[in-house]
Amino acid sequence: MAKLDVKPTRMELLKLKIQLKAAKRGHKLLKDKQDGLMQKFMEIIKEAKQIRREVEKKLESAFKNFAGASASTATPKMLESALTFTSAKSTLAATTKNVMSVHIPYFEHELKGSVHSYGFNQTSGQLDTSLSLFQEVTPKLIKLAEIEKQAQLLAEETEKTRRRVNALEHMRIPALEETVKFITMKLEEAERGAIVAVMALKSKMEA
Amino acid sequence: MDFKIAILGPKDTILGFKAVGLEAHSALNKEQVVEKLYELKKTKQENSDKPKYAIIFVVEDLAMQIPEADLKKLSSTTMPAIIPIPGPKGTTGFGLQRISKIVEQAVGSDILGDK
Repeated sequence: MAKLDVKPTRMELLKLKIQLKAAKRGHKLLKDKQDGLMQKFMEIIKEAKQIRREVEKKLESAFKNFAGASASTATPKMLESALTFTSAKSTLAATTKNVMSVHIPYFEHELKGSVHSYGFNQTSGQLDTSLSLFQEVTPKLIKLAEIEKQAQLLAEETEKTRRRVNALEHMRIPALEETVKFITMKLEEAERGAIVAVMALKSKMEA
Repeated sequence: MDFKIAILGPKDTILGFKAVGLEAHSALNKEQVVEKLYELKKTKQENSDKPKYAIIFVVEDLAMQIPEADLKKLSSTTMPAIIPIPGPKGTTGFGLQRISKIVEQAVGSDILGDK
């Protein structure tokens, strides 16, 4: 393992020991954070997958219906104007929650008014059904957006944390430990050297 | 706080969502989508620092074409959430693929498996 490039002095030893202590504490904290993130992540990722499958299925039928509806409407312009001036109003309230220092969003969606706010003589019945399908799928879509964004943010943070934990565990802490050991040995050696020198001097003086 | 939901895609696809109160923006190709996304992300609410849009749905065919680097930049913040949805052609599996990628990023391998 790579030893740090420092001079073997008592000053450095003291400094390194403090650093080592901090690194160990940081490692423990980050490890806890990683566990927490992972737990939360696992909770939501399964749900995300399930909701996505559900939404994709529902959307497909909605789109199919809509395609049929637009084909059976006289002109595309008519269809567009029928849909543009809708009385439906969607409001979305968003809050964020702090989980392990990741800000994850929570959405609350509300749909007011009716989606069927167009003249019935210009449009087909199929349009009504397809719009109902769209209306039905929208809350699910919002939920999907919420949960996928949460998963994405948590995944990013988990990855970052994992890298930090690994860097501390496999690089920083071993390097610090080795250097502390190296300096301690070096200092002990110097001490022994000094004692031997004094002993040699003393025996010379006695002789 | 009220946020808006936007949807990006070909005009005929997104019309249906317009009826349920989503803000539809038409985009036909990769360049337009990326440009629009940056534009929507930058849009703020009036008298506030909060983004105007909380969710931006992108039709899958187009979402697939967004370069990785741009997508990373766009989705780094809490809001807006950029979510791919299947188009009228049906699902291409891109959304589920994206989830697998997320799992891989977090855990190191795709533990949920493909099924």
